[in-house]
Amino acid sequence: MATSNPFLLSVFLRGAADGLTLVVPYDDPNYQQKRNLTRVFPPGSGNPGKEAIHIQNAVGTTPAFGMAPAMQPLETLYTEGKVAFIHATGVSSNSRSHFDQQFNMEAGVNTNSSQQLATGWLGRHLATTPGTGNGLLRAVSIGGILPITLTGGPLATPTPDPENYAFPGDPATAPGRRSAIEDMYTLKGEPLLSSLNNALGAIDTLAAVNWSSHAPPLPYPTSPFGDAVRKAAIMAQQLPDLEIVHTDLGGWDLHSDEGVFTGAMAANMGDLAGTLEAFLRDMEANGRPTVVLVVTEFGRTLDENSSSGTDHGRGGVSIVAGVNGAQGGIVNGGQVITQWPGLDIPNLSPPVEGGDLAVSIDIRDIQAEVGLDFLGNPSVSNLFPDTNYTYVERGVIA
Amino acid sequence: MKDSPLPPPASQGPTRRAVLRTGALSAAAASLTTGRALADPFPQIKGPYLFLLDRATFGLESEMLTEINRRGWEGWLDWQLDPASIDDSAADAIIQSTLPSLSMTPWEIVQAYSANPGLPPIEAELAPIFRGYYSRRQLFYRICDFWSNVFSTFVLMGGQEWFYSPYHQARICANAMGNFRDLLQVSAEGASMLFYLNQDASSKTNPIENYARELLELHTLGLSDNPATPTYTEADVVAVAEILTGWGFKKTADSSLGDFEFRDSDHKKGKKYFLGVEYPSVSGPGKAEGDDLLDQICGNPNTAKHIAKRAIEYFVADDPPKWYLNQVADAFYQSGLDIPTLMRAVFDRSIYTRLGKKKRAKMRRPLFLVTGFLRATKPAIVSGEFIGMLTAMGNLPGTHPAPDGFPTENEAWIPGIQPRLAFADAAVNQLAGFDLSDAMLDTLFDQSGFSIAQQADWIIAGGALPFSEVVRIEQHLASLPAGVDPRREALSLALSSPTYQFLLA
Repeated sequence: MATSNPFLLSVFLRGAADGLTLVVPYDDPNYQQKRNLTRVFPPGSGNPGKEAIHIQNAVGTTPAFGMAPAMQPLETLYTEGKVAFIHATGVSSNSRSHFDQQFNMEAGVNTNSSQQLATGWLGRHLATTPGTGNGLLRAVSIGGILPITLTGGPLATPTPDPENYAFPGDPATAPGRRSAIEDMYTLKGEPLLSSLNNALGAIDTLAAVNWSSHAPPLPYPTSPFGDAVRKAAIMAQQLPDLEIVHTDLGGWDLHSDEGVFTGAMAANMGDLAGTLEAFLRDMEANGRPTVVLVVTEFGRTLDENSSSGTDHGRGGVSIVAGVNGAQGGIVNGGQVITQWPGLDIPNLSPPVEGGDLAVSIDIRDIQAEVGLDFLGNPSVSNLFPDTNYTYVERGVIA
Repeated sequence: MKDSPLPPPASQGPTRRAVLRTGALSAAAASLTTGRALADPFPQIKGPYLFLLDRATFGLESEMLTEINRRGWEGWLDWQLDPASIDDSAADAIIQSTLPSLSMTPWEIVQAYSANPGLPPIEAELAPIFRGYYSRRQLFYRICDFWSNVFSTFVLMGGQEWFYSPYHQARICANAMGNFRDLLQVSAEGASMLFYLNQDASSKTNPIENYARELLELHTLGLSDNPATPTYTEADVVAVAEILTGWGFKKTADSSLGDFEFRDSDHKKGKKYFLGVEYPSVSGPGKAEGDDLLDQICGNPNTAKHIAKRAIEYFVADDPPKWYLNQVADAFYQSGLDIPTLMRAVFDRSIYTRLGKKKRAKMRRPLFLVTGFLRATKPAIVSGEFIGMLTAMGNLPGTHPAPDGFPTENEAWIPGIQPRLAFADAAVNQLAGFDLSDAMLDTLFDQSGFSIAQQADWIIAGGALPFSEVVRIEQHLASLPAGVDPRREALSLALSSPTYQFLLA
């Protein structure tokens, strides 16, 4: 019997994934005109292998959307209502710097924010809720450095290799060394004391995980991302008090030779979609209520550049997907949620030549809804203390 | 990695043992176990000298301790800021025989490694570790590492096996101690950068903005603290992208591989405006526009300010107070972006007391945990297990994928404690690829009048661990099972101590 505690897989697509390729407004004349080698064609248009997979859109007022061919592994899950796309979303301030906007998105601020924050929105979720049971490990980031997203969270720890996360050295002396280390860190105090406690909590918790008994219904892609998410599933299925696993998927900053059908972008999308399909089916079979939130710092320019790549744009795509065992839906999937701003106007401030996709849904609306309605945080201001921010519920969580 | 073990550095000057003896050792000091007051074996290097050495070198080591005691703060800086005057032939010989690709051109690397293209990236990853361990030009190679982090490229990107090291060695490191304007030029013309940030692929119709943006944001002007007064606009990014169209590198299979080339046919003609200045500018159209642009960028005080901030945060402390930042930025700007002047300002002696203990607190990056161990104990390097350990710690040189370089702020490094503990214990127990033999331990622990814990503190941290940590290590040693060498346990705990996770003093 799986736990009923919610589990969140948080994924950051570093480098700004091209939202106009992930979820294509394939009928839009501006899209058709501005995109050349990065253009995905309408379904049934006689361009085999280069046609969008049409996806039913419940909202209706928006243009026709399709997924890029490489996103195909998510098609059935979308049809089953377990995957939603949020289009034209991002950080509302207009910087096109990766580092600015990754920080803003993870910390939950923008340039107009009423306060500067050094913690991440999921870090603050952890800091403002008690967690379940007597868990010593509430969040894991699979990677060498804890991302801003989880910074400030108690019982959150980074590791590229949770399978081999142990107290080091000769078992005969380890208890003595551990006790000495705990005493030294206790005397020294913060900020390292919390970090040590997080690490020791993770060591003790992960020691109980059986990494070899996992038999997922679908194989995970043999990629670093697929491997990280497979390990996330193993932990989620065996550790009921583990609430969040975060991992990054990089390689989206495709200024040159974007490779929408056979190149870099196609490979990234295949990795992303194939991994999420395996993960969602895995967690569905397990039964633990699970949501995946995928974000990226911004989208890319409508206008393709001189080397079949795209530069830094504004509005992008976020994915919210979820499964809840036999009980079916946990997200309002099967739709593209958007306040579609169009591609036909220089709709940005300051305007950029050629027009771009604006940000019409503050990404915090999506993050907040996951935090409130899925993770059970009682207050938006816990997650986003910025007093200039007003939460608008977008209906991503059922 | 080659199979043959690498030797410890050639002995330079007196050994650690001798340095220890220059202190107050002659007084019959009490050991911890007797509870009497401790004699301080090297009183001279406490405080400011320890502070400077741990920030300006790759870790404490006996020769540098001796030299700073002999030369003083300014004298030591003068010496280290003149690397040509420091004989480094022993380190150069080790690098040449172990990491030969570091001194090769792209074409030479192609010829020597085409059957083994995985090797040049590994040699590049090891470069800062080996230089840091073996070189006597400590500050120079620290500065090289700083610039390689500012002008970061990604060694694991396909194609960089030929271009990464020639860029970071013959361009960045060769200009690391000169003038920033020259450094910026060789970076902008370097194949590794032109390739990494797609400038080489750009052309006149709809230029690629990738390098243009990072040139402004990361390498020079920086983003403004105040969104109301941006240092540049989106239109300026586009203008830079246009001005630099045509900048690329040669891909011919001969000795010119990777050389800079300007392709006029790709260059966008006509007027562009960057921060209000019209281009083509003083030197006329074509490639000269880019050179004029770099002049304009370097003449902008925001560049000096941004680089000053990055330097302080890399070497000394996070979030520098205004007086410190302005002092460094002004000195750098007024010198015409002279890098030794920048470094003298960063390491101005007054900062030690003016910053105060709290502001000085700076996490030791994992790279310096590894080099700190190597320099303190001088083992032979016999295999490459430490490479995976640096990856687990998030700090293997060359492998930061984004162009902003490894983070330098404390917050990034505080959470990753477990892999540090794992490295510490593996390193002292022959499991990290370093051969620290029992005989070497006999040489390191030779102070019969002192406890093993206290000697471990001297060896690793120059005596900077607080009394409480030394006592706690000593307690652990008192209850070891039979057959366990207390010296290794003591070194493991000293390296794992909370105090050593920060730069000293």
